[in-house]
Amino acid sequence: MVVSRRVPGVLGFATALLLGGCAGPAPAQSDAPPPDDEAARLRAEADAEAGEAPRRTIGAGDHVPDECCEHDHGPGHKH
Amino acid sequence: MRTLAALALVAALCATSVRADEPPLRVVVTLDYLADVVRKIGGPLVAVEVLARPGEDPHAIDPTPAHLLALRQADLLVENGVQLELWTPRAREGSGNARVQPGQPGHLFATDGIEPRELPTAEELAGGGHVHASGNPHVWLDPTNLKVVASNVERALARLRPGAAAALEQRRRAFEARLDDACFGPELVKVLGAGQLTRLHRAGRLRAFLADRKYRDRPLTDLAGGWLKAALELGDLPLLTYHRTWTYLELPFGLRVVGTVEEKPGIPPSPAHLDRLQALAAREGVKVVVCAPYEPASRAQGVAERIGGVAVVLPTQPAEVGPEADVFGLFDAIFRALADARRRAGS
Repeated sequence: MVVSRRVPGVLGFATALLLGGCAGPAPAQSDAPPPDDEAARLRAEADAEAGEAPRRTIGAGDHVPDECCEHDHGPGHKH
Repeated sequence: MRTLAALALVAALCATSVRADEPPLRVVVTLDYLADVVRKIGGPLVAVEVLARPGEDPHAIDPTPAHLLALRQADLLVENGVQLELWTPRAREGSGNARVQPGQPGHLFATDGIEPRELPTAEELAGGGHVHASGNPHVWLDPTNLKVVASNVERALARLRPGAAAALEQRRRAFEARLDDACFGPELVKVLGAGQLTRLHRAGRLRAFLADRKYRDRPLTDLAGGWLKAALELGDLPLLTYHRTWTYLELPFGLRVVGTVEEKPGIPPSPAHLDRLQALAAREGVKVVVCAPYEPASRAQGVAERIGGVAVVLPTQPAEVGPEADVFGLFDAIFRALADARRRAGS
């Protein structure tokens, strides 16, 4: 008889599911409720201070194409 | 009937679970910091190999037969991206491994989604030197960017091992929480929130925000811990750096880099540039010159002697701190070295 080794916790998870409980992932720290009104006010000020300006992010199009390895790298090199 | 339903549910869960005897994913990464993040997120799911050796210039590495062999056998290749590793296209092609080519599930640019700094102007692109057209690529030197890297790694590993998605997410969340505490201090995270702190930090406004506010009659700066506290203790320490390596550390932590030893990126300083640097250092009170392990320390030392200051080599990768160091040890070592340089310079 072949016994498959599985990651521990599967049966526990199944039991928890059968019993009707599934906690799901813990909330991110930034989503946790602030501890008090003063902290809530500071968080609101922090949000306003950080601004809501759209961020330019690095995307796949910014990465070096394969042929760039053939660049002349001197004097000083460009990517 | 209920027993049968329960058994069917357990069987379905087992069928989609991760087999403990499944071989680990072979992950090849270009840089050591990526290896640490992949290990922290992947755990027992991954076996990681690093291509760049400690102290090696990540811009310029010659792929060896050992590199090609590692890539040929890899399930996943993780690169920094932002045009840092100009040598990987040749290595990828040489490996003959279709799985690790860009666009495939076995390839990841770890920095996707991070806002680049120092996008060059048209004049800079035309002006010679080692110019990164997509912006400064040393993004991992802002520790909050490692949260983006960790999310990208989590998604890439989950694509290859869908059954491990929950465990990957759990490890990524734990890594993020530890990183937030190490970066800002647990007390400040509890009051202001990790998300708010991270946004202010990346905008370069955190120090100013903390400076003029209080929480329960305590200055907010008193709540800071970790690397933020270390940066605050450096005060307004002005620095010269050899190359624009430290941009992502400088602005968020409020460090003050007033000039570079290189005249243009990748080009050594001319005598006229050294004269200008000496005048600049005198004007700004600079006594500390910073360089990376793969940059010419003798040139940094020469400039330090010229301005009557000290040179300090800061690690850029965990392995440059020591064989057991991780990304947390990397930033500990950076701030420890800066504090030591400040003491030696008498600033």
